[in-house]
Amino acid sequence: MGGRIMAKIMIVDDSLLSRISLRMILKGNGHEISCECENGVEACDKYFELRPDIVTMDITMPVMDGIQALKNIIDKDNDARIIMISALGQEEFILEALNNGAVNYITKPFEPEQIIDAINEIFCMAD
Amino acid sequence: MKFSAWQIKFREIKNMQENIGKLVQSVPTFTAADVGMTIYTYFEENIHSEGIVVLDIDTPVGLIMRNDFYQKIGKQYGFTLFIRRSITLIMNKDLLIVDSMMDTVDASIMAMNRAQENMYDFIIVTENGKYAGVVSIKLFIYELSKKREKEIELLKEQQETLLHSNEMERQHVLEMKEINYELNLRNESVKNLMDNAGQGFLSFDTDLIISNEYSIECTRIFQTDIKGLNFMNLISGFLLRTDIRVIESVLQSLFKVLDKRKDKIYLSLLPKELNIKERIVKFEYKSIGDSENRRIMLILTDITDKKILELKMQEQRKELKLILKAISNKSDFIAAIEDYKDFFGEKCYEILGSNIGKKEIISEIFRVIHTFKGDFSYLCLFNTSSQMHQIEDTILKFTEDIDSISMASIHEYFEELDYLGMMESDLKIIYDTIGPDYLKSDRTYPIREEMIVELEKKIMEVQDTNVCEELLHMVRKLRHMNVKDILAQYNDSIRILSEKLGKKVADIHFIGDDIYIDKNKYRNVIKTLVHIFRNAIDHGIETSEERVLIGKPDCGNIYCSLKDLQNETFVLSIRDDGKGVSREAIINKAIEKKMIDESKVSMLSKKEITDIIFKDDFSTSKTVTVTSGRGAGLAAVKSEVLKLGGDIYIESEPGQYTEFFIQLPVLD
Repeated sequence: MGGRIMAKIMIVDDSLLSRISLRMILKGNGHEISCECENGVEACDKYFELRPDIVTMDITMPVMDGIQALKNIIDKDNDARIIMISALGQEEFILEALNNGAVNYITKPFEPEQIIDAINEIFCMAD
Repeated sequence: MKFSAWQIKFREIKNMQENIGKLVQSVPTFTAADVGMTIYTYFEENIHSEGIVVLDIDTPVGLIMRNDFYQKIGKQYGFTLFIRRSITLIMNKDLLIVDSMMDTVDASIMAMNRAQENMYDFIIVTENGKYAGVVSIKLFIYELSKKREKEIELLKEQQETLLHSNEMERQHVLEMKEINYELNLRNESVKNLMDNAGQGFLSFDTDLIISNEYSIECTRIFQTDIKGLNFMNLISGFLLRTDIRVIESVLQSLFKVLDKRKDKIYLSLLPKELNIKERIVKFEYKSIGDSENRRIMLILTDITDKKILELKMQEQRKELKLILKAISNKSDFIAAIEDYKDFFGEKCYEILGSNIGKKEIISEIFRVIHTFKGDFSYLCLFNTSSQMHQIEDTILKFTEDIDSISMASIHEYFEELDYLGMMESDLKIIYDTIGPDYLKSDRTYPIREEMIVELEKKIMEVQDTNVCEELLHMVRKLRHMNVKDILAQYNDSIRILSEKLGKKVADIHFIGDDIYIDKNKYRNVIKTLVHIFRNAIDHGIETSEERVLIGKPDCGNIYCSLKDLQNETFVLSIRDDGKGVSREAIINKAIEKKMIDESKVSMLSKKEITDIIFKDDFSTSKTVTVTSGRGAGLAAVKSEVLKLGGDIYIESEPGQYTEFFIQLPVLD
């Protein structure tokens, strides 16, 4: 468990179960949760207030969905690192998200390793 | 910095890909000043030499392969024509030069794309633009076949674990071995190699037209000659319409986006398996070439037989997982099923009847069903989850025809949904195994010892060792006590204490995994947790009046979340929605107590500040109260946690919450 990357991560998901599970996985791997949001509007506000290193963004949410939130954030911060959390069968949305600046995606239900790998990959890509 | 150290490490891992540089050999080099005779003498004296390279200082300008050389000088007048003149006349100037960092597979494609007569010419490798050596196609084929051997090894391992592994499968391995042996024969061409590997290889670039180099297996898989066909036309017959659209856009994006690092992510959106002519075919994709000359290579493998076996095993595993999940996460189960019945029985009609507009109504309902889908799959109710997926599909169709569809017909659709029936197959598994009353009561359900033995027996039948271990582990936990039940015993003292302090605090809310522990081994830690609960009520949660004034519900809450980290540790977090920990107050107190030096305060990190509260004799309360003592309690918690090899830390947002995270090892 020696030296590991510590990232400030923001969780955006309307499902409590998903949020808890993400929080536990991330904290358990030494990351810091800068905040948890339940919809896209909250996410946009909090993003610019807290400037997390990474955002995990659910696609289907009330008030404002994850795709719109992604667009709003990328629009003002091109370097934002956003990982989309999607369900099976949402390939079209994933594609739209990737084309609009998402760095990666994870399909629900996820395994802890998938989350950790996706985050490590971001550091790997960051050159 | 930590960050960059890791970046370097990842880069190293990335570089471990197989580069062509690994296969480089050195062969003699000559210059334009040398004559045919020199080469002739060299080849005569070195009968094993395959060929030589002609250099201009360190730039490769030509290649003379032995066979080619003898062919040329063997022709009429050939010997006299070439033997005394510069070797530039006889050398091959059309070279395949690649950088040593190039991926082996990419290089193989390029080598394969050469004309038939040049197929066996060396690949010339340069490093930083300078000549570094050559790769012999002989060696190359040998290396490729070694890789193949590794894959076969893996396949073999897998097969040994498959329950119903039969003659056919074993024969398959033998066939593969035979093929492998053949591959070692040096006269095989790369094309032949691909044909014999039993896999389909094909590639295309931005126009999606399949190039002429493809292996015979492709023809067998598609049962048609695929030469010159458009890739989309070839596969669209085996896809749903929505999938076609996705694949088309993925391919478009892929050829448009110049960032090659994103290729892998885009490629992962393409179908990984397709049913083609009643066979299940695995699709693997590789992006080759640079950003301007991008090609996509496809590797197709017929995995029908393997798949059928896997499916059978998977069904068994799914059932076991569901049973164990039902036993270990009972409360989540009951809550989810309740929510589900509540929604389809009532709530959905409230939404349908609301006046937020047709589009909003549909998307609201979609969202709820989508959440059910995710939650059910988390709870291993896989059949119900896939039913939710089907409802989603129908709702998506509603959205497509939003203008023509009437509210009445949407209403009708939901009324006719047999939502109870949708759960039946999953629930039947639970009822049949655990008992028909299992989900009826919210409290603990006695599990008969025989049932555990029965389950253990069933699990032993699963031959996949990893899955087996995982399931066994879950069963053994049944003999232990649920941490949630252990902590629920604190509810009485929470009620008494909050009453005493004139505060309103709800019973503990439990969230997350059910973790079963041997209570005795954690006795001391559990005892000291009382300090955290006391702290939450005494210092964290405000009085009802205070809470109402700042817009919080009058009743305070304590949440205990549990997460099994799968690596022999679990995390317990205890969170209250009170006023949080003020860092300023901690600092002031610590200075007052002479625990820290005022001049060093600015150097402390957030964590270092909050960690002070775990030190002996520290209390953030203005008055030392009877209930919370002098704050030494938190130090006691920490010391007990550390004794077990765990760790504790605190997080807090002033005005919002305080949360303790306690990481503990699983002690069996």
